[in-house]
Amino acid sequence: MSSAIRTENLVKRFRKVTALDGVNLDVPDGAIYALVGPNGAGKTTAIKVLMNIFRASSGRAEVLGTDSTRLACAAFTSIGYVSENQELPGWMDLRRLLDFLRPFYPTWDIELERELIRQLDLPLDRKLSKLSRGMRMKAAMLGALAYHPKLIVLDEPFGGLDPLVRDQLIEGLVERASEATIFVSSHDLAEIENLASHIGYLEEGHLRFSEERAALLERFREVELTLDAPPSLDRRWPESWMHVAASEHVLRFIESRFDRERTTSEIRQLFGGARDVSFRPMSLRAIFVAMAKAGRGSMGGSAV
Amino acid sequence: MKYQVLHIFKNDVRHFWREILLMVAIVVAYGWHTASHSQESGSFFLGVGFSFSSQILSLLVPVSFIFLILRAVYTECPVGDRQFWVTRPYDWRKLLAAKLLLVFTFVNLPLFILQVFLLWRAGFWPPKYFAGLFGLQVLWTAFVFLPAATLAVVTAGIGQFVLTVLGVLLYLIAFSALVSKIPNIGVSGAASIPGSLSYIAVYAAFLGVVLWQYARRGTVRSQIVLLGLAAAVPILFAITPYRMIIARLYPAPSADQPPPVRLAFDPAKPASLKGGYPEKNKVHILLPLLVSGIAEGSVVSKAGRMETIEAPGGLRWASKWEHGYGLVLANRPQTSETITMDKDFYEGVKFLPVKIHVTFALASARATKVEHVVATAAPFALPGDGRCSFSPVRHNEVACFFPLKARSMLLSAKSEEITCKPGENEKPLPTGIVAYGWVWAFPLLGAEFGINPVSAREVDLSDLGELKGDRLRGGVCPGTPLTIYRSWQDGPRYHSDLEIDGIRLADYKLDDSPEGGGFGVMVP
Repeated sequence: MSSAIRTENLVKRFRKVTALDGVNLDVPDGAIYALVGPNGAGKTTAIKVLMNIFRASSGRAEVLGTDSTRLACAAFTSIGYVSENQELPGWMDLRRLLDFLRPFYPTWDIELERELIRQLDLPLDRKLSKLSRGMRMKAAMLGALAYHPKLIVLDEPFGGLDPLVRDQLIEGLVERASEATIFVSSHDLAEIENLASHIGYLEEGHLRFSEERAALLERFREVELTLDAPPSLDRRWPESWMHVAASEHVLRFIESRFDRERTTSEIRQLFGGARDVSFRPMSLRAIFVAMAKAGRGSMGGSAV
Repeated sequence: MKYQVLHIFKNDVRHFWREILLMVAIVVAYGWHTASHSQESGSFFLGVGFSFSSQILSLLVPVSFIFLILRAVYTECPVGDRQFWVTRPYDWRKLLAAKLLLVFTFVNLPLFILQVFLLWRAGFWPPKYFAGLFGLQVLWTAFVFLPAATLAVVTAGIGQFVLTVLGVLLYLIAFSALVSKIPNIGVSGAASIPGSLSYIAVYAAFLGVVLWQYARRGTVRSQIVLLGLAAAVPILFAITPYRMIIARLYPAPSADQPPPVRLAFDPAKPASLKGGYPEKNKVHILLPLLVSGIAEGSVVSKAGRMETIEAPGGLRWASKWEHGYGLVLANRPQTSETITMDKDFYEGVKFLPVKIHVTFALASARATKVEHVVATAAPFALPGDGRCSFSPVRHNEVACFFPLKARSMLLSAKSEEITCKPGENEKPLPTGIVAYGWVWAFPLLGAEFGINPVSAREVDLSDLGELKGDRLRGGVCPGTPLTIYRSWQDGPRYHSDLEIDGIRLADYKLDDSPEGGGFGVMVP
């Protein structure tokens, strides 16, 4: 499968701060890719490099087969970019904005435009500067979807929006998913949990993982086992174990590379007499929180 | 998109209609005010051109132009990472073309129409001067619009722009102060090489930054280029070998050709040494000089001067090359030169006989046309389409208006032919004197830079040379015949050495006490 977005060792430095540190990203065509990570992880920087707003310090990025540093003019007829902090021309009302944008896009679909206006419940005659934040995001979304872009890039599109507006936006997006690759960043996985087909986790400029949602859910488990005696935490744990914690006879940890046979075997090697071993699937949110906490301490094998 | 330029242009016009309307109103107000007041000779002398309303309008016109340019740039600002347009299918060339079209339509064109109107109102036929008007547009673009656009494309908003302009003004003040301290730079023409190179560098950088910002939005690099330029220009001025340039510009006169003028020390001591001025740790020495050999219709400019003073006991003081002042004219057998020297040295040698060696850098020019015009009470013409008339207030003052630019001309009249009557407390001019007056012009690309394309000059004959005695006035009155020298052709540049031996500096020191005002004059 070809890639809508691909980066190789992408580095972006702002003076002494390294915002992106060797990021290798591969977003397949047709994916709904969620780039998640805590605030300050480098998500917005990554998107701005992809959109040729920032120039990478080193490494390279390709967007729809074009080197991101050459992304301009015609290439943007195939890309819809919406960011929470993008400035819209506030002096225009939505009608004028659409009138202005329409001629730029050969594929602009007037019917789709009308449908989105109705679906997103947007007022046409109010100045963009007078719109609420949610309305502005919806207006930006409309201006980025109405021309059937091949790639939709959304930077924190749902932050601070009320659930109704968020659902409207997600609904609008989902309807476009069949015809476009969607790349969306968020610091809150819950916002896009049910939307994403692929997940990337960015932390302190490093891409910790990037994979299909199903595979991710498959490889994370909350493990709980009961032992004959209280375990000692002062030992070396397998690298894939995270947040190892004990409470009297019960040991809990998160297995980040779950394979029933291998994990059971590792447990047997460490605790021959383990009883009542349970493997509970995790939600994406729980995985995200576990990863975030591990990042603040150390990764696998840490006790919390 | 096929018509992106027009599409963006139309959008900008809709966006900026208020600014455009305001700017047009200011231009119309300026045109009306100037046409109805400032182009009459009476108004010229009454200072209407310098009235508060005129000054305000003269300021508002360029400010409104700059404001529109700033608004046009900041709508699709090349600085920052949040702009709407950078992820839209804008072609930067078309965006830049749309902005240029806006500036051309609503800045250059109104300015052009205003200038056509002002020429027409002043009685000049505008089509005759279209080339000069085009030159004026180029000058406005080079001096105002391009610098403003350059600063706009590297700043994020009007606040930042204003702060940057203040920074630039401070830089220019510091630059001027720095350049004035560079030895030998003051001689006319000496700084032409670093000056020309600086202009080329500045405009190349300005154009490059504007293009780069629209093409790549590399604001940091653009700012580095501009800051580098600001650092490089003073360095360029500082490292230029001025003495070498002066030596090449002003060589020794050739043996086979007589110099355009001969200067000699005038042994007659000055009758008055008034006219000095206080300057810390400096004194001023007035050297009277005799002039000979200068042809009628020629002038020699004292472009620079350097002197050495030697006193008994091996005491020695030497100056660098300094800027020269004044012109040497025909029919003027006397002139003078004021030397500024260190007070400490002066105090040590002032009563000793000293030897002074002065080297002058001289530049000669010759008028290729000589014309005779009689100033009449009715409006009369001067060469270069100049139209002159007498002040209705003061009968011996003349204002002349020229289309686009004045022409450099030297006017002269013999004292006995000057028809002005001495005033109540004035003495008649002695006979045998030639009074001179200059009309200076500083055109670039065929026009003098300004909003108003009509150049106004006051014409008089107030230059009476070293003629002594106060209460003398050389004026122009109806019936005064004027000889006009114009179409100047550069003659040779050369240096001339003068040795003065055995004088006491104390006898030539200008009085710099506060009550010693006025100009130094000499007994004939």
